[in-house]
Amino acid sequence: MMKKQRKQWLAGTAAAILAASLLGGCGGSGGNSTTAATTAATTAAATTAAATTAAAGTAASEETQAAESDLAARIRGNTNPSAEEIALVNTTLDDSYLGDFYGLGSDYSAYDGRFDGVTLDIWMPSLYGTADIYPDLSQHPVFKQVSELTGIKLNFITPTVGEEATEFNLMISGGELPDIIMRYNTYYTGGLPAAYEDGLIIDLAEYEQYLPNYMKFLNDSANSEAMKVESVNDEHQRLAISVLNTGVAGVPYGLCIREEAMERTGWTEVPETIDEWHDFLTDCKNAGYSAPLTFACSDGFISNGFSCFASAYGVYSGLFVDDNNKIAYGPIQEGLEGYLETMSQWYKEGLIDQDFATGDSTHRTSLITSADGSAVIHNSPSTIAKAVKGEIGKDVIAAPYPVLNKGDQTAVDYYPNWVSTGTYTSITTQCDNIEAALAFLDFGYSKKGWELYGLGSYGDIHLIDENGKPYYPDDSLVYTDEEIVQNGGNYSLSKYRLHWFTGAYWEVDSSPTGTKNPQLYEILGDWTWDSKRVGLPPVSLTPEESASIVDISNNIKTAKSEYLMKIIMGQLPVSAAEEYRQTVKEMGVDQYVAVYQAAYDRFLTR
Amino acid sequence: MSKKKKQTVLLEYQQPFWTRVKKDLRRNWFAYFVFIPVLIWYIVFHYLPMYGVLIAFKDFKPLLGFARSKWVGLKNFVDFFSNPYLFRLVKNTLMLNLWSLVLGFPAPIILALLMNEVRNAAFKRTVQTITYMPHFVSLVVACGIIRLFVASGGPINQIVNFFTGTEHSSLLNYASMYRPIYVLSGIWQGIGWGSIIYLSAMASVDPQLYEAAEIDGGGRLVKMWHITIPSILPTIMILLIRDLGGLLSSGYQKAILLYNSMTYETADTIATYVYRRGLQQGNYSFSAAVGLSSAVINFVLLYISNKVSKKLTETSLF
Repeated sequence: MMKKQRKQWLAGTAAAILAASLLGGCGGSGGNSTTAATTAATTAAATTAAATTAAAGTAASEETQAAESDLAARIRGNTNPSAEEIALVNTTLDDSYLGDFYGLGSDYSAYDGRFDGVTLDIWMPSLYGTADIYPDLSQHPVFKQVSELTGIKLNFITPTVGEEATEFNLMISGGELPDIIMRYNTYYTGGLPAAYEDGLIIDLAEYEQYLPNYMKFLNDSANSEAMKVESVNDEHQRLAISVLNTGVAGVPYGLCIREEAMERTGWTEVPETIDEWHDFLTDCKNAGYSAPLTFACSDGFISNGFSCFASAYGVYSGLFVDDNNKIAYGPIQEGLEGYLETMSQWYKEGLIDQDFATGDSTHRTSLITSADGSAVIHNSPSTIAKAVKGEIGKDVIAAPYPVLNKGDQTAVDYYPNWVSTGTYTSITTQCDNIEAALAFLDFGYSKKGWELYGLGSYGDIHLIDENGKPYYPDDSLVYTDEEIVQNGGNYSLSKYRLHWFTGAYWEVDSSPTGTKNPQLYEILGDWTWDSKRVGLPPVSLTPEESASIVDISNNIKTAKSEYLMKIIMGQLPVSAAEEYRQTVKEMGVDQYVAVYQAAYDRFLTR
Repeated sequence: MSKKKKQTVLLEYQQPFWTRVKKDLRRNWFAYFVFIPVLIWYIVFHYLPMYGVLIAFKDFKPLLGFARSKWVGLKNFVDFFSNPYLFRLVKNTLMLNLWSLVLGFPAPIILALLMNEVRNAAFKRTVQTITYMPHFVSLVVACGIIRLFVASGGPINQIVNFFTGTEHSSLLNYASMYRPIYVLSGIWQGIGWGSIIYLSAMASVDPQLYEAAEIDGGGRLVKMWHITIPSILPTIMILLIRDLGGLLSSGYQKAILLYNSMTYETADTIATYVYRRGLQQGNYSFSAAVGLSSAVINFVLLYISNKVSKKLTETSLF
């Protein structure tokens, strides 16, 4: 009896000592952070007291307001900021110099030092070659700066490019989960709903108070209605937060004509109807282009799911919303024969690149840049403008999506996503500090985060104009850095900025090429906003629903690419289209459509 | 006393199994000692993972792990066998492997026989190095080379055009061309590497046999036919049985690098289908079910060919 009691005592004392030392530890780190903050402030040699209070994000007093407007006055329109001014922008949370854009929030109250010493484990696939440039992503200048501003340390787990699915599933089968997982939904069978059901991720609806800037943007953005609907699922769960677009540039892919081809053929207006396109491509052929039209295509549609030319016939590459607001399967619509007739005819006449089925992007780039290769390509104008300009010194002209009869409304298989699909970021069930994880993610939706992730650091990468809008000056490192000049591509995208990380962006504001060539985005807008947009919104399927159609969707995909490609290349007659329809019906396309119809109905009633 | 006497009369093979093992262990302990790592290798990497085949009967989810994933019975097998493309997939797999076997199996033997007759060592070494080379080229690069050669304007494309008299786009757009491209490029990739084993078998042929043949006036062809080939026949048979057992298995990497929707008709195999259906979408149970089905068929094929070989040539794997 005595012995047992003594043991209990011992255990109690041990526990007390442990607790005390823990508390001590906390106090210690807290103290450290204060000193750190002070040193930062002194080194910055700022208008000390006022700036630090602003940085801490405490309630605005008269005094701080004065300081804010002071900083705004010093930064806005400043083309040659001093070291002190650069430090003020980059090392404090004062965002008074930024204008009011898109309804972005500036609630930094969570970054008062309460997360100092917290380290978050983040699983994130590498985009735009970021991991090649920074093998340890926490060394990326933007993440370093975010870490300093929020006090949260980051530890990135980056899977090998191309092995993401395997490595993701290996990681979770090991049972050790990181705190945050990003862009994983295609790697997990059944996607987000299954991940929640299986206990991989948590529902963030209960934690909205930790996402002040995210929630503010959802409520105050100009596209708030659409965003609110798209950001939750049918059960109003918030299983993930995604990149929110402050603006949508529009259909990214369309027909780009080389200006030089217009001159050579004597066309002054861009072709609009299918017949005009036929004449124009024939003229190009006669003018010496070996493959007048080139595009990427593996399933009979041009290209990457945008159904160019096909949309003129009311045919689309996948599911679409028809005129009665019902879901329908695009490739089996009535107009299919007409579309295939045209395409196979053009292929036979040599108007289409004869190797389009096997050619990769290098093949197409060489066609569109060589003098006698292609006159027209279906691609993203910014990519093509750069490629063509470099080689020939001429520009590209964009053409609207073709129609059958003059004056018809163009149609695009496109849904403008205000909430980017595929950028899902979730908190796992093993996250120890949900508040810190959300505070870190929330930063991307604040004004400061929008500036930092989108356009990198102040001073060397971007400056602020008179209206408080960030921009790249001509001597910005995104244009002058040796590595970027030499390698371009991924380096220019991700060496100094992280415009794809969880947050709020608009490509138009932050793309180094885009801001220099605003006309490229006008093109995208032209393609998009006057068109009939038939794309499917981001509906969500239940795990049972997705399991029930996995075979059907695979088989109809195989059938589609096989039949349509063969018909276009003349290996099957156009009349085989009817056989294709029957095949797809037998494979259960009706069930496939019904599942999506149900999901669409639920989406509409959210 | 009588019992003991009886035991001593027992011949070695009549003794109980474990008694013999014990005896042998004492006698050849070192051989067993050396064998231990191999044994462990087989247990750890070939036998223990076999329990994993159970996921073919489950809806396996990595997060839930092996034990907690739900049982689904034969659902994955039903899914596979009720697939409208099943017949085509099996046919393509068999056809590609059969052609590879018919054309690809004798090729390294012929090369080795030819090489064996070459007396100029420098020439022999050069040829060997050149023929090994494709084996060491990464598959992605090798397939890139193939694509370039058969593209419109590529050398192979032009040779085909010369014979058919018509213009072709990339030969990989024609379902009828896929099998020859796949099989012939396979020979190009594997011929040198495959010949090594035959060359080493030939090296161990007793030179006295050749001398005897020469004295009897036998020429090169006679020596090849009556000495070299019979000497390497056991090697050939064992490799043949092994290859026959793999008729229904195929890698997906090369096919994925070469095929496209135009050639699905001849190019889509079980492996590529499983890749598209299972691996790309993280559906491990389905892949396991298909893997198990084809492993069973492969084993039956192996068993039959082994039996036949035993009857006909007295060479067999087991």
